[in-house]
Amino acid sequence: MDTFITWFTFAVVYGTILSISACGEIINEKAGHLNLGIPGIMYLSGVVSYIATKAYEGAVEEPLVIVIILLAVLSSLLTGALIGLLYSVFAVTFRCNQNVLGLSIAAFGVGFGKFLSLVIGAGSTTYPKLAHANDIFNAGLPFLKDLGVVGDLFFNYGFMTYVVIIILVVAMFFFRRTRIGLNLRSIGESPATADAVGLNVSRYKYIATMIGCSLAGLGGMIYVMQFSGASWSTNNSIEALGWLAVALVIFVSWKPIHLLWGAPLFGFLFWAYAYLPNMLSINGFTGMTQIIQMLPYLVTIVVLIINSSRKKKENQPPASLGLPYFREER
Amino acid sequence: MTNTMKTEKVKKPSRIRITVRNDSTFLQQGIARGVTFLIAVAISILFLWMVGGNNPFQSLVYIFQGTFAPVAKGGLSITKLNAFFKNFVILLGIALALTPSYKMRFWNIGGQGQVLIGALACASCMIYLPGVFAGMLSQDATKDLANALIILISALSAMVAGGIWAYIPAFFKATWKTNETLFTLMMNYIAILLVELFTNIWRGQKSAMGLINQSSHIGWFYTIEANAGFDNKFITSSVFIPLILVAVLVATTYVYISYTKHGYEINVVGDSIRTAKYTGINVRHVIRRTVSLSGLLCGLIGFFIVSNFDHTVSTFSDLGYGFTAVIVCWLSNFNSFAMVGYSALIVFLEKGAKNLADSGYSANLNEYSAQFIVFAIILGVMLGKFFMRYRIHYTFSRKHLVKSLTSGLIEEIEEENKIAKEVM
Repeated sequence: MDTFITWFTFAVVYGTILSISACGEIINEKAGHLNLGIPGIMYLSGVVSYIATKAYEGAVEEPLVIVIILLAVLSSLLTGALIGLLYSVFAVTFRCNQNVLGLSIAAFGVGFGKFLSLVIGAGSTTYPKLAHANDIFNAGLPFLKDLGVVGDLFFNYGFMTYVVIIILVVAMFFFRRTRIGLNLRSIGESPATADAVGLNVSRYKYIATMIGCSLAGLGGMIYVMQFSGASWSTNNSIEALGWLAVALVIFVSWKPIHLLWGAPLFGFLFWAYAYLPNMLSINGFTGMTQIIQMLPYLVTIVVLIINSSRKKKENQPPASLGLPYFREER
Repeated sequence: MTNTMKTEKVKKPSRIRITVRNDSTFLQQGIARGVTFLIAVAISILFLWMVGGNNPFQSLVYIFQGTFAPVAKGGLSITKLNAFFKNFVILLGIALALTPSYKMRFWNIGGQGQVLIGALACASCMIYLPGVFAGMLSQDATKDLANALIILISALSAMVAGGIWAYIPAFFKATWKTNETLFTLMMNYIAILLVELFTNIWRGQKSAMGLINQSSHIGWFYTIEANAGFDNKFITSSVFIPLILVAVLVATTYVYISYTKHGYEINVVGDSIRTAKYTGINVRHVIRRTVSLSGLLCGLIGFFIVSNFDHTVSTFSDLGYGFTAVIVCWLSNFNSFAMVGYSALIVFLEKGAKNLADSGYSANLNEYSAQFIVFAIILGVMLGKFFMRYRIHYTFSRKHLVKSLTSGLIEEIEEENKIAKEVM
C-alpha cells in the first residue's frame, strides 16, 4: 500500500506539471498556434524562478512566505509571457513558420537555461536546495493532510496542485461558456471568418499565446519548486516533460477538463517502471523500464490515429493549426 | 434607414499595415537578407560583450579558432577541423534527407528518431553479424569479403529501419490525414527509448557500452589508408569519405527536387493536394514514397554515425541535430546548396562556443552561449524572409489613413447621422 501511495503521489505531482503546461499548449493551439517551444519555455522559466527565489533567500535573513510565492510564480509567468510575446511577434506579425520557430525556441530555452544555470552556479553543476521555498511549495493542506490514507492520497500536495486544478476548471469554463472563449476557438478554426466577423485576430493570437506560454512557464516552476524540492539540476527531465505535455494535448483532444484525469494517468504511466514491478513483486528484466516508459507515447499515437480515422468533429485539432493567417492571402 | 443606424464608434485602423511585395528585385531581396543577418550578428556581438565583458572581438577570435585553430608548426589543427566536419556532415546529411518531405510540406520532425533507429539497426548488425559470418571471418581468404558484407548489410538494414520509421506516420497521413508533426514527434521518443533499451542489454553489467568490435574493427566503415607516399591526415581521416558522399547528396537532392518527375510530383503535392489530384498524381503514393525516402536517408546517416564515426550507439548519437536539421532545411528554403552554408554556420558557432568556454576567456561564457547566437541568427534569417515577401507601411497621420482607406465613406456616414438626429 505504501508503494502505491508513493506511486500515486508521484503521478499526481507529475500530473500537475503536465496538466498546467498542456493547458497552456491547449490555449496556444486553440488560437491556431502549434507551439513546439513548450519544453524550452518550461526549462527557462524553471531556471529563472529558481534564480529569483535563490537570490531573495540569500539576501534576506527571514524570508517572507508571500514574497517567495510571488517571486517564484511571477518570475515564471513573466518569463513565459516574454517568450510568448517573442513567439507571437514572429509567428503572428512576421508570419514565420510556426514549427521552425517553436523548435528553435525549444532549443534556445533549454540551451539558454543551461547557460544561465552555469553562470549562476559559476561553473559548478550542483545547486543548493532552497529550504524555505521547499517548505512552502510542499506544505500540503493543513488539517486535511492528517486524514490517514485519504489525506496522503489527496491532500498532501503543495498548494500549486490545487491552484492548477482550479485553473483547469476555469479554462474549461472559459472555452465552453464565455464569449471570448468562443471567439478564440473560432480564430483557431478559421481566422478568416473570425476576421470577417470583426474580431481582432492578431490581438487574440498575441494574448492567447502569451497566456498559454506563461502557464507553461508555471509548469516549469512547479517542477523546480514542488517536484525537485526547490533545487535545480541541469538534467533533461523538464524537456522530456515538455514534449509529454505536447503529447498530452492530443491525448485529451484539446479539452482542458480532461487533463484532470489524463495528466495523472500520464504521470502513472511515466512512473510505472519504478513501482509496478515492485508492487506485483516480479523481477524486472533488462529493458522493462524503457518498454513501460514508451506507453505514454504509444497511447498518444493510438489516440492520434483513432481520432483521425473516426473523423469525429469534436476530437479534431483546430482547423487552422500551424497555418499563418494573412488577410490578403485567401 | 439612417434613423435606426447607431453611431457606432468607428474602429481606428492600425498605423502599421502589411502588404505583399510582388515586385521585389534580386537586389532588394539581398539587402533584406543581408541587413537582417547583420543585425543578428550585431546582437550576438552585443551579447558576447555584455556577458563576457572585455573585448567582444577577442571572443570572436576564440569562436573562429573553434574550427580553424592554428598550430605551432604552421597550418591548422586537423583534429579541430575533423571534429567540425564530423558534425557538419551529420547536420547537413539529416537536413538533406529531410528536404523531400519538407518540400512536400510534410512536417517530418522525426529526423532524430529515424537517424537513431538507423543507428540502432546498424549497431545490432555489427554486434550479431560477426557470429553469423564466423566461418568466413576466421579464414584469411574470405575475411575481407565477410567484413564488406557485414558493412553492406548494416547499411541496408539501417536504411530499411529508418525508412520504416518514416513510413508509419506517412501511411497514416496518406490514409487518414493523421497529423504528421505530432506523430513523428512521438516516434522520436519511442526510438530514443528503444536505443536506451538495447544499449542497456548490450552493455550488461558494464557502466557504458564502449566501442563495438573494438579489437577486431569488424563492421567499421573504411577510411583511405595512409601509405608511404601519401599521408594527408585529412584525407585519411574518417570524415573524408562521408564528406564526399554528402557533397554528392547535395547535388543529387538538388537535381531530384528540381529536375525529376518525382521532384515535380513532390512540388505539386506540396503546393496543393487538389491540383495534384486533378493532374492525375497518386497523392497517397507520393506521400508514402517521399517520406520513406527521407527516412531511408536518415537511416543511412545513422549508419555512418555508428559504423564510421562513433563505432557505438547512444541516445545522443544524432548529436541533437534531428531538430536543428529541420531549422536548417527550412531556413535555406529547401535549397540544398544553401543548406551547406547554414549547416556550416551552425556547427561553426557551436564549436566556437565550446572553444570559447574551454579557453577560460570569460567565466560567464560557457559552451551554451552558442544557443543564444544561433537563436539570434535564426530569428534574423526569418525576419529577412519576411521583408523579402512583405512590405510594411507606416502612417503617422491616422486621419489621412482613414480617409485613404475608406475614400471618405466614414465622414459621409457621420454627416448622415448628424442630419438624421436633427430631423428627429
